[in-house]
Amino acid sequence: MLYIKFFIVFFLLTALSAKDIIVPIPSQIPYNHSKALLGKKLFQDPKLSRDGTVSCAHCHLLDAGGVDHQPFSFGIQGRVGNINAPTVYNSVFNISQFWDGRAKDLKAQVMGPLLNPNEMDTDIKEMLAYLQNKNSYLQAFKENYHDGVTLENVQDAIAEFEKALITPHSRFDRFLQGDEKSLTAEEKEGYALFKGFGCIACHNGVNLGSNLYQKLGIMKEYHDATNNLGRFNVTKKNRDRYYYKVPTLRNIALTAPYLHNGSIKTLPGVVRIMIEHQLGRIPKKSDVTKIVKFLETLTGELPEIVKEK
Amino acid sequence: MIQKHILKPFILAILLIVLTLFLFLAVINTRSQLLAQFRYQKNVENLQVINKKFDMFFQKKISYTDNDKITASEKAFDIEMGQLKENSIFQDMIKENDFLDLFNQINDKFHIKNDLIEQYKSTMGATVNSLRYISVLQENIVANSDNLEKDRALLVLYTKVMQLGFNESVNQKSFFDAVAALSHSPVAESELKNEVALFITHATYVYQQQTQLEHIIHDAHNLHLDTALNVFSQKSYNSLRRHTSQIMLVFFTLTGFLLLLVLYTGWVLRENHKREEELSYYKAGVDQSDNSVMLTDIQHRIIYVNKAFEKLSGYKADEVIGQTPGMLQSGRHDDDFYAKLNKTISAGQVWRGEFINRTKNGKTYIEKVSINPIFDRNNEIRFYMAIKLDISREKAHKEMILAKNKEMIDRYYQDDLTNLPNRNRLLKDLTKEKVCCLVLLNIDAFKEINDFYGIKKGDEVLQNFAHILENIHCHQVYRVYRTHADEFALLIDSLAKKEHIDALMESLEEAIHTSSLGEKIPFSFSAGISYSGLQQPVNKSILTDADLALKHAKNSSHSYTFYEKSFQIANEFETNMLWLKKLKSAIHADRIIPYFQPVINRQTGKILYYESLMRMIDENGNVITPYFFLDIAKKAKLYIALTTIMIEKTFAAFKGSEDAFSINISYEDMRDEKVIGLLEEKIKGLSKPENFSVEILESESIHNYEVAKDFINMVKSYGCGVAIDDFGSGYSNFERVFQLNIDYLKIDGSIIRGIDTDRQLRIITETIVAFARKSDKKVIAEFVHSEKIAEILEEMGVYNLQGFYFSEPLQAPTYDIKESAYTVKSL
Repeated sequence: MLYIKFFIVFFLLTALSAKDIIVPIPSQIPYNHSKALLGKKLFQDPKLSRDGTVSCAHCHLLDAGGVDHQPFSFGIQGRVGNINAPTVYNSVFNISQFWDGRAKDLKAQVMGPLLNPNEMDTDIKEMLAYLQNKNSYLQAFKENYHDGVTLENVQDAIAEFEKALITPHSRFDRFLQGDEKSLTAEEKEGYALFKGFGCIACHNGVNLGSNLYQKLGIMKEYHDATNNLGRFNVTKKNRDRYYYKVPTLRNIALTAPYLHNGSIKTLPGVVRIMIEHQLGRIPKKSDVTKIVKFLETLTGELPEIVKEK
Repeated sequence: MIQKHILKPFILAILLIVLTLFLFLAVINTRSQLLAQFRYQKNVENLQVINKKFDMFFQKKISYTDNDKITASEKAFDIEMGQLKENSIFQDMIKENDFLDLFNQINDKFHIKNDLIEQYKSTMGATVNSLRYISVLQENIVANSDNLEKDRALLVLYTKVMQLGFNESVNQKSFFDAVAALSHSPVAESELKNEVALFITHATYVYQQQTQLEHIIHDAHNLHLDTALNVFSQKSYNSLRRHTSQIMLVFFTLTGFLLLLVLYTGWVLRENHKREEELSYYKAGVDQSDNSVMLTDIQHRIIYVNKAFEKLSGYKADEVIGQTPGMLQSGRHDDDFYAKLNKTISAGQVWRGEFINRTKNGKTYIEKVSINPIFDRNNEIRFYMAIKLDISREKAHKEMILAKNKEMIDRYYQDDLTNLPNRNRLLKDLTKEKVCCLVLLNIDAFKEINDFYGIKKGDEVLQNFAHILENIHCHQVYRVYRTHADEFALLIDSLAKKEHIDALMESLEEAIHTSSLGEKIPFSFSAGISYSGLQQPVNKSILTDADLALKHAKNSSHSYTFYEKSFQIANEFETNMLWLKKLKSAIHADRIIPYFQPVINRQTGKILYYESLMRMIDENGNVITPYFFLDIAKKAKLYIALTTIMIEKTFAAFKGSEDAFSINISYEDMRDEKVIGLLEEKIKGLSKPENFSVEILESESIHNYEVAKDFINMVKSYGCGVAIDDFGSGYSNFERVFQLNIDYLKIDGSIIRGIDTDRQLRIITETIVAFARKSDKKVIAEFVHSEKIAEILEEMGVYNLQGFYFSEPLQAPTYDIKESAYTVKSL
């Protein structure tokens, strides 16, 4: 029975340390407001796309959790993508960008949707010419960048805007900050299960996820209809097959459908899949409900800049 | 042309600026280099620190990983690497050695490690979850099992899993044997078979994951990123140090140069400053100088004047600068003067002289000037400096003094009353001029005129006479002097015949006569004329000749008389004849008699002796001293006779007397055998010869000392005393006199008379007394006429005194010392 005692000690230790590895979103993070405003304008301008129909905001709706609620997004001329659009909110805290983490940061990420033929399919030269010729852009670039309109500056401005897109003050954050009443008993139970089951093993940190890669289907194989190889596409290593960047759980209630293929429409559905395939446990309905209740407390407040013109 | 002393600081300043600029650039460069180095080192350090964090991350056993934290570290490492790559130092360093390889190696290793971290993160999370679920499952199975024995295989596997959980190595075979055992155990077949299946799945998973973790840790360790970083750090450090020392070398070299240059500049400036300071002292000196100073260029244009110039000339510096000194010219010098001046100074020589210049107000002034050419280094004239001293005042002063002097001289030579030249003038004129004739004129009975009419009228007479004298109607040129009260003189220096003089005198007589006709006081004059008939150097006696002639004229009926030689002889002859007649008559009538004057010893209060003195009684009974007749007596060979009379009468007077006495004997007497014989005979007749003394007169006239010695020896042989009379007068040969065997020295009256007032005489007296004391001779002082002198002598130790203070010469040696008021005070 010695080992059982050991286990108890061990369990307590891990349980105690669990709280520390989730931290609230800060109320503010430093960013250049002027650049961010320019970035916001660019973010919402469909003229950046090849045919002038699709903007960044097209797929990352700012007032809808930063996603488009489609399994796959539509690009120019109705072209359809092959992966679910992740939320733009709190992406600044991500270990990398995209499901497979191929972009190291926000600036690098910008080029992805721009150049993707199924998304904006932007002709960079034309885009720059457009920006050059539009006075308000020219002015804004000149104000913010000594070298005016350049591709890098476009990336930088958009990244600066995205940096500003954080959603602090969720009820769970307030709970973390010591406001015990901000969570209901059920939600607290959900959080306890979240920790107890080990969801927290991957969904931790400020973003409850987004800070590591993990295999989809650790304990039980997951059949992906889209046959997406995940991180393997980036590393070309067999062991990275079906590894994805663990998505954030922030605002998770707003960002359906779920998984990289957008195949799961509801939150309880995806929680059930996670318990079964990732934790190798048998999901119980009451547990799922509680965990979902908890996850719903992760919806934060939209930043000021979203409302700004 | 730039002067050398200006050029040097100029070059120095440029050098200084250039070097400072270099240094400034070097400082900026050094600063940026050092900053870059600092950043570089910081980057390398940070990389090492982050790598440590990575290693620590790997060591964490079986617990949830802090993914945010490790992710932040990963990103930080990436950022540090990026910064390092961008650093200019790094760009420099990869050029020269294998830094790029090293860097790329590190970068590769980092990416591998990054990958390992990611694997570790995902593996660890799942492992922890499985371990925890295994515990839950185990608890559930055990709780629901009715037979512990059935659970044995479960426990075995659980133990192995826990061992894994605590990093204990578990044999693969034994582990899978345990798994197999559990899968075939009865519990796997019970109603708990689902749990057991999950248990086995998770246990197997844990084993795989644990093995995986071990591999990851192993790989991470064998990556040796830390070693690569250390090598990189060390190499960087060495390279940086070299780099730094190069930068510092440049920096310090520049600084050193700059410092040297600054020091040198400082020195040069100091020298310049010193020179300037010196110059400023000179300038201050020149500015404040009493001499006016003017500096001109070689074209004579004024470039500087000092304050003294401004004050003297009345021009301000502004008004004269740029002008030439010609503006000051008074016109009192001719062109030749300036031409010479210019020639001198343009030849590089100093000109000295006097200028008469004109002030701004037109006043002229005299300056003593020296104009100095000033040369440059090439020995060419660059400036002229005129140093001028205003001597107008000095000149005026000198003239004034001369005028005053002349006035004083004039006064000295002029008579106030008549404004005629006075006697002084006449005497002066007589010493330097050739003279033909001198006329001395005297108003007759002027004393009576004064007495009768009063001095004022007397003065009028004198003025009138002077006026007449000045305006004598004649052809002769003459000068008039008032020589004395009522005495005037006419001096004729041009050649004149005697007739002309006569005519002159007649004209004068006529003029006086005419003047007396009016209300003027009538008077007449007498005149004596010394006439040489030639124009010749003045005869010394011209004045006395004229005087003699005047006297002659007074006694004659003529108003004027020409001097004749006979006047002189007649005059002398007349006097001598008179005295000879008197003397002869006295001898004949026995009117030559001795008088006696006592010599008193103030110490003993007694009479030392009576001196016997010769006197002549004339027809009228007057007592005459030998002063008036002695010379005549000698010339008329009557002297010995007189001595003889004196010897006879003196010895007779003291016959039978106790009183001591003395007789005066001259050198002339000593040589006369009759006198010697008589004297010896008389001495022999004395009862007390020690009371008798001889006083030798006129010792300076002793030519043959043998005669004197013989005489003295003779006298002394009888025990008589010998005294030297009038010692110290004339040119007494002290030494010879002292050698004589005498008893008394009688100091001359002309010395004693003045010792109370004349320090010199007192010293002479003291000297004589000292001499006398040394040679054991007694001293007698004569002509003591006051107590004061007596006291002085007493102080000197002279007690034998003779003189009017005690007693005048007496007809008989009967001086009563007891009744005398002049007895010695000490008694």
